[in-house]
Amino acid sequence: MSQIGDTLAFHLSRFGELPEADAQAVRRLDGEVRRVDRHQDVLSDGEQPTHAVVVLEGFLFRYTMGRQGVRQVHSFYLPTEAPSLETIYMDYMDNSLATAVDSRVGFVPLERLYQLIDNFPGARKLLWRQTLVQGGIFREWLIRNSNRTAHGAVAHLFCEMFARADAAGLAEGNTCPMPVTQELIGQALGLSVVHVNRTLQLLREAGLVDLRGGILSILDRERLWDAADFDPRYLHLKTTSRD
Amino acid sequence: MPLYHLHIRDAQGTARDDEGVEFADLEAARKEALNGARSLMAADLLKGALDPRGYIEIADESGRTVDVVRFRDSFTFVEGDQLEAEDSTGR
Repeated sequence: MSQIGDTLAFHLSRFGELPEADAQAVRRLDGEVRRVDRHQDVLSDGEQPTHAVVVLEGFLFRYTMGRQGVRQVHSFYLPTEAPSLETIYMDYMDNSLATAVDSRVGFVPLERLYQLIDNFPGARKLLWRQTLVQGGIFREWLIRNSNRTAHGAVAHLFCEMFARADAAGLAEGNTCPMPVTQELIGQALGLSVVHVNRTLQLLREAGLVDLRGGILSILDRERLWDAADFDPRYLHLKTTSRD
Repeated sequence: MPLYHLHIRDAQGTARDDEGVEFADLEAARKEALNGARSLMAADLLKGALDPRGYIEIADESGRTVDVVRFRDSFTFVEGDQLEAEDSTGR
């Protein structure tokens, strides 16, 4: 048993049932736990991944740096989530993974993950499903950035992050941690920081949602979902809170 | 890097930027305010309206206003009659 293994077993169980033998094998997965200060790369573009990553505390995001120095953020990761499973069979990183705030991150040597995948079909199935769901989330982020107004896009991002936080056991009542700056939200949604500020203010004044001091508060779930046109099916979550 | 606040004032009201953003210098903050003014107007234009009366106030970390970027100064508006049709035959 290890904290990394426990966390990964919990995360995978959000996507389906893990047979007991497989769950035990995942819980035995161990690795190194490191503290990573905010705004540091955990995995950098171009490097060869040697470990899979599990978020234990904090908040991570993936990004690609454009030639003009503009950073496109294409995913956020909460504690218990596993941001790098889709790179376990890749020779090199084609994007970077970084911390938004001081974080604690678990690193599992890929060799151990390969052994798990080779020997435990139940775990293999859920690891595969988890990475396919990541693909679904990327599709939704594409739709969000292409076809929604700033109002709808920010609302949609908040709906998703709350649903994921709830599944990760991080939600308390109508609040959950979301330690992101307006700048990072802008880089995720392709909006100027000014436009994000304006949109946050309108959503707050309308009584839908508030983001303050790294805490997201859902003020009116129904109207927020409406504004976002949110349908959580793409998250494929089997459970919505920690058992 | 110094922190600057980009407060918005336009027809939708006032949006204070209490969080602020770190910029390399005031020039970089000014550039982002200009980009921000354009982005707000562009979003309005997609809904069929253009209102250039707003402005963005740039305040430093102490809260002192160090510059103001006016929406109407952030773009060029070309006045005049409708353009003549071009000769489509290319002659």
